[in-house]
Amino acid sequence: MLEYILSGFAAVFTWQNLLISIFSCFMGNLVGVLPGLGPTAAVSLLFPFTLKLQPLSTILCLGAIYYGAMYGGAITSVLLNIPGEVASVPTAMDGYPRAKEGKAGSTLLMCACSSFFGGMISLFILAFFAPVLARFALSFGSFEYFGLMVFSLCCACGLSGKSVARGLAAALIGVGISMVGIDSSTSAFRLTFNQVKLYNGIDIIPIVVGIFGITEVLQGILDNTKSVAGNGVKFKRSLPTKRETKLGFGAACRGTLFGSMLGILPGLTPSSCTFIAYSLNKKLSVEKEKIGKGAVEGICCAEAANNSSAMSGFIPLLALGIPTGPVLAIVMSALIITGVVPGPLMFSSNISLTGQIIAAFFIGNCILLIMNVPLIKIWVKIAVLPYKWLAPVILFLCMLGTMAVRFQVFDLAMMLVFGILGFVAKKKSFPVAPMVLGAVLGQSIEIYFRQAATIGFEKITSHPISIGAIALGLIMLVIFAVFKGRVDD
Amino acid sequence: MNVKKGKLFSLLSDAFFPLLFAVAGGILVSESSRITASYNPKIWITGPSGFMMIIGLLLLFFALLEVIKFTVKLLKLRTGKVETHNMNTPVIIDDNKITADKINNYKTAEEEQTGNNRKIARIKMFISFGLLIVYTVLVKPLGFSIASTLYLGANLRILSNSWKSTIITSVIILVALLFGAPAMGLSLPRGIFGI
Repeated sequence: MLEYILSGFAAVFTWQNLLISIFSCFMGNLVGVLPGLGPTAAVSLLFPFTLKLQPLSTILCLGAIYYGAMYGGAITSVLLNIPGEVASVPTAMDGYPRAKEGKAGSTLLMCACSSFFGGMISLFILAFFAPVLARFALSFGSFEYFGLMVFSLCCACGLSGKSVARGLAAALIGVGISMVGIDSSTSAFRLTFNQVKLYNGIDIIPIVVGIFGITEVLQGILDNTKSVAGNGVKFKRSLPTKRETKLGFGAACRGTLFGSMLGILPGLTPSSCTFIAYSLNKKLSVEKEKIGKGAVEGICCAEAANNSSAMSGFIPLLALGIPTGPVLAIVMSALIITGVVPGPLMFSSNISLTGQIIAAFFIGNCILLIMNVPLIKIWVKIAVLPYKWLAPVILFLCMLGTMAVRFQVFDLAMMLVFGILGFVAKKKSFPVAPMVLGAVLGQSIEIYFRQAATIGFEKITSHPISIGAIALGLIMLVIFAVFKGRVDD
Repeated sequence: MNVKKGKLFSLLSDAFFPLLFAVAGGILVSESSRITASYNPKIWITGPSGFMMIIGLLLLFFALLEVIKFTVKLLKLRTGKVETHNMNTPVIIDDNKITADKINNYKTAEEEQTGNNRKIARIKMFISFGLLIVYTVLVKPLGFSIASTLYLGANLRILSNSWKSTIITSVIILVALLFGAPAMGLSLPRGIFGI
């Protein structure tokens, strides 16, 4: 495989391809910075422009847009506490408190480095272990996925504040929110209350933007905030300290491990993988008590997990022709349009093309890092802008991002409703992160639950992975409860 | 007596959680019952209402747990066993004990100024949120570009920005929306003016 990757580099290293990569990365960044517009939106918006390119350039372009948009989400998460997409929520939870302390520069640098690290390790796995891992992922059925989802929800309770029970209840409320709309298998109207607008359900973007973005801005106005980074804070130091680097590296390794493992499973999106990795990391961190309050470990783990799971998604795509999420479905269409059919042949008769694709991803990742590190100094300037000017602009961006998803005014109303909910939740210390995860995973949990129920729950005994995941989830709940008890003491 | 009242207020604030879980659980359970009656699936658990019922019941269970916790706290308060108080709850000094502490509680000019600033900030926050509601109502008839520009201008002024920065920002956003949104393929509401 190595020789094909090396020859792939020779094919990719042309000035046209490098220019395409830089431009695509920048465009991805630009779209990703807008709240609500994540990688999926960026890739779908810019996809038509890539079709006139050569097949390899198309892949290079889409890959760079994807990375760029993911990093763009991290920028707004850290600087403004507005996650561009769901996967950036954990980054916002730890990144924004650090930006408030005047450490936006070092935080963005760590985000970029962790993303790069996660992406590179997953690329290595993609290059050398893809066929084996893809076959393993295919052995997962409804029971296994249901077990994994239960495990994820249990992990989400680790993100709750004082009480594990409240965290679990918040996650269940999130699952309830995901049920709004027409049931996909029976066409039953659920929780729609005869409102046509609710037939398509509640999109996750208004929920996230409302809970995090609107709440933060309203709180900022109420607190008479002068600027995100406080008044008079100078960014003298944009490099992390030795201890931060050490902690961050460990967390990035954990994030990469969890992200790569979970990312290959069809049915788990990078958002779910990032949340699970973040929750697991909380238990394994050196500075557990700081997670969610500005911990380096939280940021590095979330970013590494996000990028590595996104990259791992290419394993089932290239090895089996199965896209694990909407972005990869678009990439797959691009491949098919350009005459390349993803599947087992990619690692036999089409192996030279696979080598070129891996080389293209490698270069895209490097360009993202090289391009964004010098830009950090410009991005952090946002954090020192006067808040009285920034607040209305952020609110406008929140509305634009929400509208841009489905072009429905109803989504704006939902954003406001969840904005109020987020504000009240903040006052009452209600854990919103598990609720968001519940809303993200809700539909999948229900689908796999019903599939498993159709097969018969008594057959679960022949699915050890499922039993193991559920048992591990329950153990995690107990551990979280005990651990939280100790912290409270 | 007033100390007890303060603690009682803190306890009432704790009622937020059982209430939220009970309402959410109640909605899910009642909706699940309605769906079961209408669709009557062969196997209830695989139908559209089975999973919903489970989630609803779990939420009601958590509400019950919160109620038990709340009741225990209330009973402890009545029997006077509660030693600590919520940090967020203001400590109310008993009227019968006018001490030096109470005299020291007189507000200084600086504190008064802070209080006024907070009041103004609260008003600004409510107006900002009100503007968001007005914007949501007007975005369809006026169109996204015009409604956004008006909203942005109004909010910038309310948050005490200068006229100059308000006008410059609004014009930039209007131009960006008029040319940028169509270029990116965003079909935002156009309104009566068609822009």
